[in-house]
Amino acid sequence: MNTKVLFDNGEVKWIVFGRDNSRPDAVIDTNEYAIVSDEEAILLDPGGTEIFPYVLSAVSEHIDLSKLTKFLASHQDPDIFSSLPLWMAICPDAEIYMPWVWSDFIAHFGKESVKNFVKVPDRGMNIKVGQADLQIVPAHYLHSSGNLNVYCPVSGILFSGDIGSALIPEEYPFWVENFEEHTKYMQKFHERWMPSNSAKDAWIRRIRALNPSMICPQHGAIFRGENVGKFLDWLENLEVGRLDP
Amino acid sequence: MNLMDFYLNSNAVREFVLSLCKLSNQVFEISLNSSLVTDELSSLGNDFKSYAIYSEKMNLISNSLGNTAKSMLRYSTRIMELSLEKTTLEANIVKLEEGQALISNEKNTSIITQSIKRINNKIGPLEVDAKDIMTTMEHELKSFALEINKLWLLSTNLKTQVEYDEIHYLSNISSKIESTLAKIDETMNKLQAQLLKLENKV
Repeated sequence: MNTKVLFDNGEVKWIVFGRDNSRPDAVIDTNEYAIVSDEEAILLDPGGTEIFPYVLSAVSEHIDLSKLTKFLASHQDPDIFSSLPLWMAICPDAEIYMPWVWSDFIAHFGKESVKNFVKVPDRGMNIKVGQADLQIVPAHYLHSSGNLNVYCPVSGILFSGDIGSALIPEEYPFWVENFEEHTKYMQKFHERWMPSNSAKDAWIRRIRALNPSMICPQHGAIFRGENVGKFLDWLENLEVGRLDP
Repeated sequence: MNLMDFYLNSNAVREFVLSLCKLSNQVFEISLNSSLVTDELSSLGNDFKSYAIYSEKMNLISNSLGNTAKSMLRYSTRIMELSLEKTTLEANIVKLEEGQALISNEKNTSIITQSIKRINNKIGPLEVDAKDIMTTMEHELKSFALEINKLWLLSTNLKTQVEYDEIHYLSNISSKIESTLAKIDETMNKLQAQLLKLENKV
C-alpha cells in the first residue's frame, strides 16, 4: 500500500494511504486518510476487512496506534468500515463518528462497539483532533442518504468520501494530473451512484463557500489547485441519478 | 475439534431437534387417537374406561416431549450463536496477525499483541458457556430418554390391550400404535447416539 503526506505544518498532518496492490482483485481500491495532530489521530473511512492488514501496516508506519483516538465512517458501506471490529480491538476506547441515520446499521459490523459511536446530526458538527479543529460537513444523498465529509480549515483539505471518486487503472498517480482525461474515470461513477441533482447542487454551493485547497475522495485521485474548481464545475454540469442508456 | 466446532460443523443438533419435534407430533397423534378410541368405545356402551387412562398419560408425555423439543431448539440456537461469535473472533485474530506480520514498528506490534490477547480472553468464556449449555442438554436428554421409555411401554401395553379386546379395527388404532413404536425406536437410536457424543465432549 502506498502512502503520501498531503499536508504537514508541524501542527496538523494529513496522510493518504491507497493504491493498494496487495488487495484481492475483486475488492475495489480505496483511499484511507489520517489526520494527525499532537497526541491524537483520526482515521477517515478506514476501509473493509479484506484490506485491513495492509491498511494497518501502512498506518502503523506513520502513527503510533495508541494515538488513534477517533474514526469516521462517512456512510454505511462495507468498503468504508467493515473493519470496525478489528480497529476497535486495537483501539477499544476510540470514538467512531458516523451519520446518525446509519448507527443502527453500522452496529452490524460490531455491536460491542456501539458505546463508542458518536452519532453526527444531519447538520454536521465540529470536532477537535489534537490541536486541529475539524468540520464534519453534511453531504447527504451523495451517494448515501446519510453521508459526511470532513473539512480542515488549517490545511484547506476536504475529505469528500465518494464524491469525486473515480474507478482508475492500476498505477494511477495520487493526484489528478490531466482533469479532462480524468473525467472518463469518474463520469459513470457519478451518474450511476449519485442519486440526487438537488443534493449535488446544494453540496457544490456549500463546498465553494469553503474554498478548499484539495478535494480528497475515497476512490481514485486527489484534486488540488485549479482542478478543485474544475471538478466542482464539471460536477455542476453533470446530470446524476441516471442509469446507462 | 472442540465442543462448539462439533456443533457448528455438523447438523447433528438440528436433525436431532427435528426428530424430537416429529416424535412430539407423533405422540400427540397417538394420544388423540387413543381419546377417539375411548370415545368410540364409550358410544358402543361398553365399559372400556381403561383407555381413558392411556389417553391421559399419553397427553402428559406428549406435552413433556414437546417442551423438551423446544428447549433443545433454544439450546442449539444459542450454541450456534456462540460458535459463530467464536469463529468471528478467531477470524479477527487471523487478520490482526496478518497485519502484525507486516509491521516493523515495535511499539505498534506490542499494541497488536495486546489486542490479540484481549480477543483470546473473550473466546474462553464463550467455550465455558457452550459447555454449560451442553451439560444441561445432556441432563435434559437423559430425562427425555426416560419419558420416551415410558411412552414405549405405554404404547406396547395399549397394543396388547387393543388386541386382547379385539378392537384393533377401530380407527386403525393398531397400525397407528405400530407406527409410533417404530418412530420411538428410530428416535431412541438417535437420542442414544447424541448422548454418546455429548458424554464424550462434555
